[in-house]
Amino acid sequence: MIIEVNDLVKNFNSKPVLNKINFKVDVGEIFSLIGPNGAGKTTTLRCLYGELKPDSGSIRLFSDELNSKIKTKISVMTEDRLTFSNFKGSDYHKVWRMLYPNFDDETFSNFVLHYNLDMSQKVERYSMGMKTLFYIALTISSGADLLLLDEPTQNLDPVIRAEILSVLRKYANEANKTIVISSHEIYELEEISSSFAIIREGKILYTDDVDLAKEKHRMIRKGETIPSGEVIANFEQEVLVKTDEDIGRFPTFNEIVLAYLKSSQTFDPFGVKKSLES
Amino acid sequence: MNNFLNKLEVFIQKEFTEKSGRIFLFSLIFLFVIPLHISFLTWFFVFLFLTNMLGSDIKNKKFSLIISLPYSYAEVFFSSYIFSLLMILIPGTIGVAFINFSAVTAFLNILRALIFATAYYGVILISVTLGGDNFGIPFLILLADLILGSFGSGYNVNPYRFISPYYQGNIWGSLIFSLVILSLSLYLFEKRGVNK
Repeated sequence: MIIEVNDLVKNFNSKPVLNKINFKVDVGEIFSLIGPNGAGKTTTLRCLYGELKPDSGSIRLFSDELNSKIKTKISVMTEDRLTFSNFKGSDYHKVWRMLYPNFDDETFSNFVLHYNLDMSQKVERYSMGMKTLFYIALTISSGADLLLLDEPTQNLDPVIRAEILSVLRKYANEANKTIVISSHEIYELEEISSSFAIIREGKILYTDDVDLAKEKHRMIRKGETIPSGEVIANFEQEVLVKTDEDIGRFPTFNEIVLAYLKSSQTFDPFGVKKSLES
Repeated sequence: MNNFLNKLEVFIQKEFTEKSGRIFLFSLIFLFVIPLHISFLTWFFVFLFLTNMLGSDIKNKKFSLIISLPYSYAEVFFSSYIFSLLMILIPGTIGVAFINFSAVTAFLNILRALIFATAYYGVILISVTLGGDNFGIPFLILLADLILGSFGSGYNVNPYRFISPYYQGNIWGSLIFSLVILSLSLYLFEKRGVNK
């Protein structure tokens, strides 16, 4: 396992933000952390790379506690795209080359040429889209075994967005690297993710492999008999049920995500899922 | 060790690029105030310089950037501490070379500045780690240090004066006291982390 998170709890000034988070990510996976704004996605990532100290629970990366040696295997793109003041593109390149032993200059140059990134300009003056592309160029070129990307397609136009998703997929598949993506763009995550966790109000509602999740759920049309299992959520004409029975149709990834997020709209302090036997 | 030196080099480059104006200005000031040791003025400028280091980065969310790179909390702490000391030590040493002091006086002036910097680097970090700011609370502590140490007619009446980072009645006592503050700040910084 590349990442093992067990019962992770994080509070800010006594306000709980993460409430016993559990998930695992294996080598070569593209793992999506999906949830609405304020769900705890960014806080989870910040705990993973050690910026925030968990109040309780444990995080193991590469089967070990986080340390500075392991951190050279992790490259991070933060959500707010903050930059060091007065740093030009070339300054960043120099710093990342020094810190990441496997930094690939050729890959970085390819990004610079393709997206026309001005390396003599201060990065803080780049547009948000350019900053996103620049950070993607750095994180991928770092050669890190684990990429932690917070909203990696934010502020990108649709064509470049599709291109970046394809680059990320290729990076994971061909180099056997692991990527954790935090996003609320569920439509694009379906294209790229191999596993996922749905997070809301600091809790993981559901986590699984994308294909297995589809196998474990069924969409039942209005009027059909609801099988034994767990009713996740009602849509207008259909119900998503977690069941072993071969009935109804397989749901799409988006339907599963939406259903779990809908299921948690109703406040239930003891759990978020209703179990029905019929 | 090699790895840390590499990270320290990156950290120094980052500080020079980000804070070049401030570093130049403070270096110029330290060139004169450290050798001449104009009591409150010297300590005030050293204090002001330190508020612009790691404490300021944490307040301005720049710490998120550095910790997202392959640095541990301890590495950031020591990189910033070493850099701060060097920025006091280098202009201070150049300054004393041009003023006709005895070697002992020159050494003591530099050492006193480093002891003060060690203590207040720790104080600023403790303040920021516990949710305070990087200037206001540490400045109140500096004033408290100034006032507490001024009580009594001599060192026998007021033992705090011996260890006070401001007065440094006993240089070894104040050095140990400064190192205790620094260690406490490192412990809190590593244990609690930054909660912003």
